[in-house]
Amino acid sequence: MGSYEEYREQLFAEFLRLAGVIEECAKILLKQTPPPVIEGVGTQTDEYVRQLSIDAAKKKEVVWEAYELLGQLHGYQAGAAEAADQARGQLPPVAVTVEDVDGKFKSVRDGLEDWTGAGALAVKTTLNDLETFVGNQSAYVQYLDKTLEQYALLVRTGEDNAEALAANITKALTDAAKNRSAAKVDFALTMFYGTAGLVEAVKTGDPVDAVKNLEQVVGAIEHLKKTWEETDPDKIMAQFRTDVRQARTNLAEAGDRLAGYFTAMLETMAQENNHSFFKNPALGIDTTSPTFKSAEFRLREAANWNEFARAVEKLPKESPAPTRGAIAQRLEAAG
Amino acid sequence: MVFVSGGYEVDLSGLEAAGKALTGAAGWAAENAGHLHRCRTNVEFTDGSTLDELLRGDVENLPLRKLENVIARMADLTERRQTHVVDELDYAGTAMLKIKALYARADGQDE
Repeated sequence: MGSYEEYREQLFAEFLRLAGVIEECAKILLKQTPPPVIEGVGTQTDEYVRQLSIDAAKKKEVVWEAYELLGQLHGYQAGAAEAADQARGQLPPVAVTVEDVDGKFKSVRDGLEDWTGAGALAVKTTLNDLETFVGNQSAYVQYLDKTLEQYALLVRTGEDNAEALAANITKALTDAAKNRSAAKVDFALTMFYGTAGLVEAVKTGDPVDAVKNLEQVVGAIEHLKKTWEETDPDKIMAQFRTDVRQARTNLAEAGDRLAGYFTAMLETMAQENNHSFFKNPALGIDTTSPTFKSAEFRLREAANWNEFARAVEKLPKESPAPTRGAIAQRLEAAG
Repeated sequence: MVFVSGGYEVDLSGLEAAGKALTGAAGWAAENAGHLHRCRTNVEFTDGSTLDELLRGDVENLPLRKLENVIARMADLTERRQTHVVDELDYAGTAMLKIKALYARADGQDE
């Protein structure tokens, strides 16, 4: 367990302890008549318990606020960054290069080299589009990989900042209680500073090349020096509150810059997922349809892809399932 | 075998080879789809939710929530796109073989 989790547990334990104190005080004040005599307090017991209850209630609020604010900065579960690392581990084999895809398509192109005419041209054009589509997938996988990498970095920064803040609020409050003249803590927070101009520049660039620039979209990392030098716990809490919110806002802005960068790309991806190649019904060759039947056409027509497609289109859609011809049987046997 | 007629040529065995190459590429793409799916199931967010839980809708006010939504959507779309790649390659392979069959039939090779 990391130090941050320990601090958070301590804060929660302190919250529960204070809640217990308040409950005990309430029981004494409400139920015990005449008030019991607490050793060393004497006849002032009632006032003492009342004061103890008010003090505990104030502290409980402060402790709960610290717990809540740190939760908002860090998140409520450890392990998101490690999970992102694990997820990225699956991606290297998928992040194929354009050369890989070209290699796969080379034997396709070789096979179709001797095929000429309008039909051949239409098929080859569709194949080129398909190759580009397959090739672009590697860019998307790289975006996913780099985005997960930046996400893990942001999560870890949030954790580090939460840990620094938790450690220092504990130290500042303890020091203030112990020695009112020496309650001073220095520490650094990790922050991201991005520039809007750069984000715009990245947006207009080459989408594949821009993968490398995601770090710049998130922003340059800088360490912000912080000093709390107060003796009053309320004022220390005010500084803590301001700094936690600043760290949280900074983290959220860095994350939002990256998120905003992808808005248009995600829409493009969603649209591309509806794009069909050989499956395009406009081509009129639904070869996987159970009612698909070889066209009764002549080679003269087949020389023109559009004619070919129309010939296929003219086929009766509701015809009974065709009996398998000799060619189909041969093809199936060969496959 | 190369068939020549009316100013164009059809290489039936070439069509068949192309069809098989495309089907092979589809198998390769399907393996990659498996990796992408495992990537998706590994992702976990700062509130402990999984990618699918986030896609079902979540309003938790965490600093990285907007980015987490983008990651969920991007991983989902990339996985779907890969499935689409597999599907289209497989279909293209089948289409080549069907086109070959059509040419063969038109050529009178269909006995």
